[in-house]
Parts: sequence; C-alpha cells; structure tokens
Amino acid sequence: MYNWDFAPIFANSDVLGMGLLNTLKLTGTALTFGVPLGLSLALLRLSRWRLLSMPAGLLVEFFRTTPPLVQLFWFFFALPILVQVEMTPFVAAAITFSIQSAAFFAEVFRAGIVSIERGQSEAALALGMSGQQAMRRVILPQAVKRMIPAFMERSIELMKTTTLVATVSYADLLFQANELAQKTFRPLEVFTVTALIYFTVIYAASLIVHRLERRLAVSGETTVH
Amino acid sequence: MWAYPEALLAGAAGTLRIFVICLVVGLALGLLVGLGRYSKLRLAYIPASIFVEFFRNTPVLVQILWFYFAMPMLMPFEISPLMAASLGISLNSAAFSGEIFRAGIQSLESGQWEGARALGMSQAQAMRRVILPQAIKRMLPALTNRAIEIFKMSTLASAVAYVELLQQGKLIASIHYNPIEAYTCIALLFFIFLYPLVQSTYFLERKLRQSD
Amino acid sequence: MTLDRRTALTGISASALAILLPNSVLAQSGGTLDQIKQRGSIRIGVTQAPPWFSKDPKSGEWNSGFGISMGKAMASSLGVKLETVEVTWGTAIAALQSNKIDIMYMLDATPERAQAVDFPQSPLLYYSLAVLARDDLPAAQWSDLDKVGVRIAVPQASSMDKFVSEFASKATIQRFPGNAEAIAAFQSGRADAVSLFHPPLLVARKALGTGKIVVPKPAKFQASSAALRKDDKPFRDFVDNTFATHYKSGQTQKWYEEFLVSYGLDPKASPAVMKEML
Repeated sequence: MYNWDFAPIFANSDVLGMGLLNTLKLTGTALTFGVPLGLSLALLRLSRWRLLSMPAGLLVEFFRTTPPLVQLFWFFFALPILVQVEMTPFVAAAITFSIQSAAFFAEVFRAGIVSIERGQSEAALALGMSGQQAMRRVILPQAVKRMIPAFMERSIELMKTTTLVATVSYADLLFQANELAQKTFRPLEVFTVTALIYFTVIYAASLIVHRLERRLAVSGETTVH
Repeated sequence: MWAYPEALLAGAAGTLRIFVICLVVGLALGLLVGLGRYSKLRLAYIPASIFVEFFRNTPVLVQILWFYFAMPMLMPFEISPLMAASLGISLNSAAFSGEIFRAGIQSLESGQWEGARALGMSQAQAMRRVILPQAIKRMLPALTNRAIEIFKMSTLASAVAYVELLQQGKLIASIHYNPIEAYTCIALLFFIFLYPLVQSTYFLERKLRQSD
Repeated sequence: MTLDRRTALTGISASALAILLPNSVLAQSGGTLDQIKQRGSIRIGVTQAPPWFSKDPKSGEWNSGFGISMGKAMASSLGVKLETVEVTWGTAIAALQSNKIDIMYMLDATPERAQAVDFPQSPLLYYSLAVLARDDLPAAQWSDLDKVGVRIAVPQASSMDKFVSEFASKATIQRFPGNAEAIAAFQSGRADAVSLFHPPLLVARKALGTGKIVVPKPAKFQASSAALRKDDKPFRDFVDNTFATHYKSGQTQKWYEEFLVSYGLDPKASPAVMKEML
C-alpha cells in the first residue's frame, strides 16, 4: 500500500502558489502583447502591397508551423547571444509566447475580417468613409465580436502552452512542482496536486468562455466554428 | 551542425515513431470516445465526458511528467520515456479528436438515417456504411489539424529525455556550445517538414468545401 | 450542456478516489544484486555532464566519462552488461526509488537525500565547488557573489543548488534541469556565473573560450558519492568495496585523467580528484 503523504505539499503550498501566480502573469503578458501584434500582422497580411503582406505571412506561418518548445529554446538560448542583450527568463518567455500567440490570433483576426460580408464594406464606402475608416468603424468592431469565442479558446490554449517554460527555468507552476518533487521526494503527491490545480483553473476558464459563447450566440453575433 | 547527420537522423526517427504511435492511438481511442459522447446510454456518455473534460483541460506536459514520475510510485511496472510521452500526447489527442468525431457524426442530416433505414439497414449498419464514411469526409480538415498538432507535441517528449529531434538539438548544442546554429537548424527542419503538410491541408479543405 | 459538466466534475472526483485505493509497493524480488544478476545488466543513471558522463551524438551511446568507466568496471566485476538510463540530478533519486536505475554516481551525500536513499561509506572522489564567471566579475570569495544583482546558474536540486542557495542567497539564482542548460545560460549572458564542481567547469571553459574559473573562498572541498536504494546492505557493501579499491589503487584518478586527455585538457594543469594528491 503506497503511503500517501500530502503533508509536505500543504507545508509548501506557497511554493506552488507563487508558481500559479507566475503562470497567470506570463499568460496575461503574452495576451496583452499578442493580441495587438496579431491584429497588426493580420492587417499586414490583408494589405495590397506584397512588401508588407509577404513577410507578415511568412512570420505567421513560421510561428504556427514550428513546435512552441523549439521556439522557446531558440528565444531562450540563441537570441540573447545573437543580439547581445541580456534577458531574464520572464522576458524571454514573454517574447516567445507573445509572438507565438500573435501568429495564431492573426489568423483568427484575418478569418473574422474576411467573413464580414462585402456589402458592409461597400456600404461604408458608399457613405463616404475612406478604406481605413471603414475598417476601423464598421468592419473591425463586427469582426471582433464574432471572433471572441475563438480568442478565448486560443487564450486557454496559451495557458496550457505556458507549462513549457518549466523546462527553461522560468518559475511557473510546473517548474515549482518539479522543484517541490525533487526536494520532498514525493513526485506522486506533487504532480497529482499540480495536475488538479491546472485542471481547476483551466476548466473554470473554459466554463466562463462557454457561457459567453452562448450569450453571444443568442444575440446572433457569433460564427460557431 | 552538419557533422552529425546520424544524430539528426536518429532524432527524426524518434519524432516519427512517437508521432505515428500517438496518431494511431489518439484517433482510435478518439473514435471510441466520440461514439461514447454521441451515445444516449449514460453508461457510455458519462465516462466519455469525464475523459474529454479532464484531458482537454490539463496541459500535456503535466500529464507526461505525471506518467513518468508519479505513476511508477503507484504501479510496479516500468514506464519508459516513450511510454510516458505517448500516453500523455495520445490521451490528450483522443479527447480532442473525440469531440471532432462526435461533431462530425451529429452534423449529418437525419435524412441520411431515414434513407438508410428505408433501405432496410439496422442502426449499426447505417452507422457503418452511410453515416461514418460521410462524417469522415467532413471531419478530415479538423483531424489533419490534430495530426499536425500531434507532430508538434512530439517535442514535449524531450522533457523526459526521449530521443527526438529537439532532444538531439539540445545534445549538440551542449557539446559544441552553438545553440544558435543548433536550434535554428531544428526549427528549420520542423518547418521544412510541416509547411508542405499544412499547405496541403488548406488545399484539402478547399477541395472538400467545393465537393459539397 | 450544463448538466453534464456538473456530472463530469463529480465523476472526476469519484475516479480520483478509485485511484487512491490500495495499490503498489514496487514489487522487488530480492535485493539489488539479485535483480542485477537476474536481469543480466546494471543500470546506472546518466546525465549530460562531462567529465562524468557524456553522450556521443554520432552513435547515441553514452560511452565516455568517469562515470561510464566506473560503471563498466562494476558491470564486468559482476559479470553483467552496463545499461545507461538518462536522468537529471534532480530526478535521479526519484529514478532510484521507482526502480528505473540501480545506482547514481556523482550524487553527494546530504542529510536530506539520506532520508530517501543510502550512500556507501567510501568516497568516490574529491572535488571543489567552483564558478565559471565573467572575466570582470569579482568572485574570489563567496561573499563577492552573495550580492543582489549577481545572477548565478545552477542545476536544479544539485549540491551546487543547495550550497549557493544558502551561501549566496542575495544573488539571483537560476535553476536549470542540467549542467548543459546552466552553462548555456552563462554562455548566453543570462547568468553572470555558473556554479558547478571544478571538473565540469574545466570542460566548459575549454569549449567556451572565455570566462574565468574561480574556487571562491572559503573553498568548499568535499567528497562525492553515489546514491543507492535504501536498506540494501549486500549491494551497499559491494559498492563500498569497489569505490575503496579503485580509489586506493589510483584507478579513480586514472579514469579521470583519461577523460581529460581525450577532451584535450592537460591533467597536470587540473587539480586531482584524490585528496592525497593535492
């Protein structure tokens, strides 16, 4: 009979608590930078000038096609040598996930913008708006409302992806779990508790997302994909 | 970097091996899970739902580490890095593809069922001969996306020292202290391999949409 | 849809309880020596950490390093094959406990570890704790490093981790899974210094070409050992004897020097791993 002993976990709950906080901090930062960056990339891709659309397209495709862990190692160990800049683990991780999530958001934005009927943009132009004004005042607001469910799902994916930083010494929840498991020699209890913490947080987030989706569906504003 | 073709080849072989294992197990299990979620029997529906909710909402890396470090404390048999990583990735993929299968089956018009019934088929026969093949055609884009995700997730196995591409990149970088070359090379290898696949899935999607 | 989510939650807790029901005890038929003889191989833990263990990228074999030499000697004296299992310093003890490996060389005996594993009485070898630091970083004393703003990289849960956390607690300590990542952090400028024992730093310095190796004072000179599963006297005695024999005969020092030479380092320029030779 295995001797379950959760006491060391409870005694060190602050270690895990700090890890959870760092996970949330990283997710929040990546979202804050990723969303506007994603929007810019989407707009660049939709631009008529190949000089803008091609590099943006290449960047988006590259970051969507390569595994996130490879990207993380590159930003962590290769980039600092390349640009001769010192980076804390947090900064390196934040950059990686901002760009990575931006690439996915860019696709969501692009699909959303394209999905607004042509009629809308023509009507806007008929009203005398410039292309830019039409985009800003008519198309984007509608596109954003439609894409909210996809965004939220991407954000939840992001929270799961941030666990990768445990392999490069950023003290997120999984890293702290590793620390604790190695110090207390109780990997079973530590990893079980950690899995449950992740499940609780992410499940709660996805429940909120689904409630939001239903509200939006009722008001007819969403494209279910 | 180029002095080690054997190392990179060994890595690529490892990546492919775990990819195939997780793809097959993930899709097979996913089909079962999807059918369970579609079923009206509570005995099938509830466990399937629990499975889907749990494995969709926990990060794969946590699962891999749990299978490798935590589970052996409970069970007396050995878990190799390949087994632990395959378990984590396959179960996660099964949960996601289960939902894809379910949505695919549900999306078919009831007209198909009635037509099959009119021809004298039982429910099982109708499912096997009419519904499933059509549903598969509709689910192909989402499933190919899943397959690409599985391929990318293979890098997580490096966290338990399984020999795949990223692990080899780490090894070379640590021996020659050339992380820039090593990780750039690995990233490019993944990109070169996956980009054509991703493009062909876009192509596939477009063709399927046309044929409807 | 809300109903099945609630049932899902209750269902998950129920399954969790089911897992907690009686299980396990890792079935061990006989002590480690018996298992080794039955299996026909001795499994040693390895991690990329020259001069102790090193993997050859071409063949994928762990075939060089002091630990490998010692492992081969142990295997041949038992009449079995040598098997290598990759671990990290931090997970080696868990690997021992879950019967993935039989022995982990180069783990130092500490009171905390001794609660989970056993160590033989004879030392494996002796070495000093050192740092590989930026040329312009003052590091002659540990107190020089114990300052806010100094960033030190160490492998997670290693002796270096423990020592630096205690004696340079004001510094920013970055913990990585292994030696290689800690050195890479120093290389990429993310850390001002990386702390390992003297021998791995010699290897790193040679490849990196920059940085200075310092044994900060007061010098932390100690014996290294190997971790074994608890309460296994026959195996422990065997390991004890093996270590003592090779140490006294100078074979330990010889294996260490062999690796240095194969790496292009001059054994005469490096401190010995035998206390008596210093």
